[in-house]
Amino acid sequence: MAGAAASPAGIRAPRPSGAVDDLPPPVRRSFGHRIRARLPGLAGGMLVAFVMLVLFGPVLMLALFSFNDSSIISLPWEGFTTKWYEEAWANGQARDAVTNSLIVATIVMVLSVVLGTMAAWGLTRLRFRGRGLIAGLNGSVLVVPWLIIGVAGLIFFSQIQVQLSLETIALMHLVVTFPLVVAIVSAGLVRFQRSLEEAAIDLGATQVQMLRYVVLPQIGPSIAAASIFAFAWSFNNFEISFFTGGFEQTFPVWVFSILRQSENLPVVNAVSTVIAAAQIVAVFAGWALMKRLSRSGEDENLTGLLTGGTR
Amino acid sequence: MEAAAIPVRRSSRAKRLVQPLAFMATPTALLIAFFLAPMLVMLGVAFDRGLLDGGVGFNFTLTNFTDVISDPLNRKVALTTFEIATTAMLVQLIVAVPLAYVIAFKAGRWQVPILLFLVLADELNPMVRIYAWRMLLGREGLINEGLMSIGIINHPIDALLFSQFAVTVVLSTSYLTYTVIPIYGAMKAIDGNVFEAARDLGAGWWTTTRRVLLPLIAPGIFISLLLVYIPLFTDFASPALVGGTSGYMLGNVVNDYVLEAGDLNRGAAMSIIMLGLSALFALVAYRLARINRLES
Amino acid sequence: MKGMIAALAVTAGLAVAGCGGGGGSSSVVPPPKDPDAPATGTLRFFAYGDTIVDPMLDPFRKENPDLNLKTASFDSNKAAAAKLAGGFEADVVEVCTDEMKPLTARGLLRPLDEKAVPEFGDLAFSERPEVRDANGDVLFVPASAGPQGLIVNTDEIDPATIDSYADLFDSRYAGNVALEATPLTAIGAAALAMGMDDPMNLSDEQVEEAKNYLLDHRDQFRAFAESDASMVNLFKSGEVVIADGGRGTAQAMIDDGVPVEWIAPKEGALSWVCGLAITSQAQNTDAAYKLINYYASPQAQAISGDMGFVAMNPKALPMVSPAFKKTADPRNLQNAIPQTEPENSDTYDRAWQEVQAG
Repeated sequence: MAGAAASPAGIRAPRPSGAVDDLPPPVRRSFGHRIRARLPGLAGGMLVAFVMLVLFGPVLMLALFSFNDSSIISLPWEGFTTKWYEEAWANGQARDAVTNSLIVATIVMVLSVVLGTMAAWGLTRLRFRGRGLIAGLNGSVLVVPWLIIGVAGLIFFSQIQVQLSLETIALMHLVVTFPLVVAIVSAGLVRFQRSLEEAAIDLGATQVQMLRYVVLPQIGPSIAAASIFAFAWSFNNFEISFFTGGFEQTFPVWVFSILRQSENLPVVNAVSTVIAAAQIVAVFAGWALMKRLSRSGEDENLTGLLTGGTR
Repeated sequence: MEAAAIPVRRSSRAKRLVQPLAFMATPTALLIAFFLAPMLVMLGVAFDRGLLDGGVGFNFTLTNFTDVISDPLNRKVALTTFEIATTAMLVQLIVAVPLAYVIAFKAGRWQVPILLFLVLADELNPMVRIYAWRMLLGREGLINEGLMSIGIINHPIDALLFSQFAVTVVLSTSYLTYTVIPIYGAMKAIDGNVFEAARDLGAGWWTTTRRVLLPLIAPGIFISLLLVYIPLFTDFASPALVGGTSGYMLGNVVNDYVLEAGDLNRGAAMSIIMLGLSALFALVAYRLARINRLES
Repeated sequence: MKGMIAALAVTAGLAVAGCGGGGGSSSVVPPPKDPDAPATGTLRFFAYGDTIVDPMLDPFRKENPDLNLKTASFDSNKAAAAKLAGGFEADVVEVCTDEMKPLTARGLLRPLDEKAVPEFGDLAFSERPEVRDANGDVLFVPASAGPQGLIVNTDEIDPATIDSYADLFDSRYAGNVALEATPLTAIGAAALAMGMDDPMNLSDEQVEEAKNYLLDHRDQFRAFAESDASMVNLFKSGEVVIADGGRGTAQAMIDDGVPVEWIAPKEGALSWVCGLAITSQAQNTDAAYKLINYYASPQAQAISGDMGFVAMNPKALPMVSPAFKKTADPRNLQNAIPQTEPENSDTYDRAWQEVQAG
């Protein structure tokens, strides 16, 4: 509390609170300004740098060492090589695992976006009995841990005597992923006025025309974001694939098993680096697409989406 | 589905019936068939005497639950899991609150890139991340080698890998995105005036943080808890890969029941208990988030 | 749509009520009509992660170009049984004498016709009692065997100073030791280190003692290796300097340039025998016989011998490279303690689980 006494109160004249509504930006800035006196901007920058280092440092290291000419992942640097990439390419299991994951994630993404958008539209724009219940069901999928969904899936399929395969994996991925699309697209739909849609209908547009020409452009960014998330949720999903998978492995399951069961670690390095690079490209491409799709071309959409999606 | 193609007038009776069905039937059926039904089947299996006793048909019993709960081993593991999950959650909150604050109020034009990188961090494959940490933290990993080569330590620090520390680090970094973004969302919704007002009333930064900022971002924190704290309890890949002899968590117990011992009944009971507890937690967090949002 | 939902609900309800075990046959698998024809279709091979290696499988793939060989791995027969009982189907499954009970108890194996495996009678350990079921039918065809002892990093430890399981518990190596995460060998190693002499037949009390011994020395251990390969990684990355393990595992490390030596402890090495079995859900039984016959062949056993394992087919011995002639000889295992599944294996499992949980 000693800080309170020392605070340089009165550097700026207090702003009459009524005027603030007209001038929000200066208020923001003044707030930042105030804090800068307490928490040096450097500290904020360092915090961001630290977090980025912790989040990406290990993966960058992994990428670097995928070019190291040593079967052990540690110093010293033994020289540059691309042989792990060649081995990875020649490794049938690795190729199959990546291909399987790509196929599953693509199918899951497309179906999730279609089903999720449909459900989001229904939940935000239509009135019907049981709406709350269905919304609750969608929401509850998002908070049930994947481990438990995976176990339930395994038990379910064994009880109805369905053989585990890529299909069962994809089915379970779809069920946990499209509610995420519902959440993101609903958030997008809620933010737009219905007046445009009503105007379109009043002007004689059919429901389909209205969806195509009025709604889709508005929620395009949401759908783009949802696609990225849906793809990643399926591609990265370990727990559900681990429990509901058969002979065909997905990429995360392959890495998990190889970390415990094989000596081909540099190959994992190489494959992982390629995957990580592809994911980086995908996210940035998706972001660019979102910017193009959004009318204003403003980044505000991203922040709006992220915060909207999590609410 | 074909209903969508029929031009319908607003307020027509047919529309009110057919349209919701057209939009909601498939998604809802899917959720019922492959989310609700598996959960119900699992519930049934949890209360069934089971295959191991050679029982045919459904024989109601509570023994799966009493066995799982009364097993001292499970209680011990539950405690370890609670410790690890809570530590990881606290670490993330300690990082996330200031980070969200910096992004929301101080990052300026860096705001979007930082957010994008956070999203990217989440998109990176979790297995790849775990694997990367493993090679960093190992006895001959880069951190130990680096510290030794500049002479800070003489012997590698063993506790970096195959320890609760390693599990905590990996878990914290795996979920950080989902901790930061809801809190960031709550920060964005704050009207800068309130800080102004607090300052004008003579509040210092600590008082402002505690009395103004934290209450306002509380809904965001509760959502973070909802999205992150629950999955932390069920993670089992991280402890299996970097925990060594000290990372045996509840997720591993479920895995052992289901995939090692093939005891679906107890595995189901264990899952149901965890599901029940997380539902309870979710309900509390959700209520708190709502109450706070309404009050603010 | 409503009808579909109702149908699904009914299905789910029936599933709960039904709880029936997986279907499958328990009669002897009929031999293929044309044993010489290359296999076709899909063959699903479910084995220990260490068995599924390309040097071993590539010749088989070449001989049967039209066969789609799918592989999946497990850490223990118990885990394999859990998966097979839970809707995961395979045609051929690898079994080991010391832990195959979960598979037989659940009726997951189907006896095979020994006449369809011409080399069967010549194979080492084919006379072991575990090979046959109660009716005298053959359950599996022995495919690999080897001794289990100690592995030491010769850069860190003078191998001449190591001769006992007790060395695993030596405080000099505290924090640098690994154990194989297998209940039988882990409890067995502790029992032998404590001076008990029949590690495969410990009483419940003795298992308890061995468990407490392991728990008291828990800080001794860096990690518990889920598989041979994960053991290799632990040595390779310098995480451990001494561990219990098979000679084949040590050989894999030597091949990889890791400075280790395999040592038979004075208490006696343990010996394991594993083989291939056909599952009760097997669909492509012709291809299954093909794979089993391939594993029994001198050619395949010579490859296995060069990997540090025992060559099960005597005709393979001359083909094994000179460096492995001695270790590939089945007579080498004569003085070892055979790993057999204890009557009270549940007690072993439970004790090991408690050690893992700490």
